Amino acid sequence: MAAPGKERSVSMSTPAVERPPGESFLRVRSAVKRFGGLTAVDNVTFDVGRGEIVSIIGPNGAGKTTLFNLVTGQLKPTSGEVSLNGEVINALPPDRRARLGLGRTFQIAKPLVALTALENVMVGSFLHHRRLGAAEAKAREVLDEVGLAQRAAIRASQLTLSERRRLEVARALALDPSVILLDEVMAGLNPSEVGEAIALFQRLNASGLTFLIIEHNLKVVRAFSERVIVLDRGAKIAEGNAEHILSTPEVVTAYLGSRRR
Amino acid sequence: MAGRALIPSWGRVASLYAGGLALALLPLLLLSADRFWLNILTYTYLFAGLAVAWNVLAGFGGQFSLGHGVFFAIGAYATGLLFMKWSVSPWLAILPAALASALIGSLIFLPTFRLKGSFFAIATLAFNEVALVFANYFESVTGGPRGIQIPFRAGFANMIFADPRGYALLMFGFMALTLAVALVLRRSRLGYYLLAVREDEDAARAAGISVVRVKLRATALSAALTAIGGGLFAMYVRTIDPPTLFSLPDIGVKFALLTLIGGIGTVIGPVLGAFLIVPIESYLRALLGGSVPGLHLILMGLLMLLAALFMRRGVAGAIDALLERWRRRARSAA
Repeated sequence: MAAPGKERSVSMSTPAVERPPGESFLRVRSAVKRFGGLTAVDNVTFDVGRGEIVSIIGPNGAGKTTLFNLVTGQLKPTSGEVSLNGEVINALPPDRRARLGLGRTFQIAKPLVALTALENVMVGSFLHHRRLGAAEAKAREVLDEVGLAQRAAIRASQLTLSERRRLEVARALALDPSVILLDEVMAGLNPSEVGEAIALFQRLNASGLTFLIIEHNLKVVRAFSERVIVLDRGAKIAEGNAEHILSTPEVVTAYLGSRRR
Repeated sequence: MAGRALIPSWGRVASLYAGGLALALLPLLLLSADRFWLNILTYTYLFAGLAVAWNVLAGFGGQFSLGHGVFFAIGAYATGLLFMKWSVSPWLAILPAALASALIGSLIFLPTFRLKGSFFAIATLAFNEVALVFANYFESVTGGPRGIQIPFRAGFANMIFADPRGYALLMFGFMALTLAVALVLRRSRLGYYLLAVREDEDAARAAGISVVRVKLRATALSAALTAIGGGLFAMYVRTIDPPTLFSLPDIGVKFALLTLIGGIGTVIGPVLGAFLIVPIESYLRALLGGSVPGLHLILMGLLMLLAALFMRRGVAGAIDALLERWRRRARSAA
């Protein structure tokens, strides 16, 4: 370990055991991200297979969002490698990664507030639909999918929190991504909205979309993800089947933070 | 509500455009006999077009440039020099002028795109001042502080008109051109990308948008249109001199002022701003300039203060709010 006092036993790590089904699509190899003396992501390796749904969980400050940003290109890794579909994308800026098929949402939704909901989504759909009419048609389709069709003409500044989150997902979906990264997209949603979102994501997954999600809501994780990666203080401490992982004592203590007592 | 057409069809946009232009042409028919007002109207059309051109980068793209005087000057010098030295018709000369402006604009703005908000504005303002020094210094090309005089040789090919209505029509055509470009842009992919970049660069990148490329394209387009305006201005006043071209209150900052008062980021806002401000300012200048010098500036300042206080989104925003209120009332009445 790099920093003294950060030593701890990496309690369980299950490489090679839990190979993702199908080919590895998104690969993260020994990713490290340091901010000065702080190691936010510490030697994390994982794969996401095509069509898989993988969740990243962990207590606050575990480095989930930093890891996420290494994948989206918002941040560049200090060392290590990120590759998508066999291509190393370490050096690519976020917009190039988006054009390669990587869609994302932001933890704090970033609606383009001066634009209408429809225009927000069109900003995404223009990527593959050059013409106004085609971009509009695609955007309407996606708005309908996320249940915002009735709100198409409303300025994003007037949308409720849950609508803003759905708008965020819609803008990413409008890119026709092959993998979508959702950063706590369920936060602040009521149970019925969560149910609708899960149903939507399962529909999209059935049509081939790969998911990498950060999620705090363990019910969602259990109901939705095929595989779970647990981060604690920057390092991956466990990986595997959701049901199994969530009942592992090490994960439970790390997640509840009782380690610090 | 759900089925309401959100994005107007091309047919609707085209008819609004034609109707608006017809309306803008009306004062030309009414005032054509009055040279004083015809001159003001000519400037109104020109500055409406220039404000629309500025708005392409600053309004849609959120890049608040105060360096557009440089593009204006490039257009004026290139058109004037090509005409004077090689007898190139200004109609043709405005094309290389626009191209040169787009290229130079892209080059000098590229390093400033990292700067945000007022820092970008200050950096581009500096370009204006540096260009002023260059224009004064390179006397062999620019004629230095005394500038270039274009002799009065009337003729359509020379873009010099014996009838002053010719100039008014010329500037009207320029306004129509910039407005058409802005309308097409607003409905294009680049237009949407510009708005996204203005609203949130991270969100734009996540949508696959190359922020720098989008800013560059908008700069090139905005600089090219501004240069055309500069070329037409040169042929109208027939004097090309640095203090006029690089004047902040009359050129560089004027584009921003007109657009802000009219409604920044809207297609029609810059035109409304020009039609409101240019005639009032010119009239007040003529009325008060002789007796109480500077009073017209005080009055203009007061007007802008009021606009900033009560029309935060400009004239276009105020009209929008009125229409919205009227629509809501109609809906609740129904």
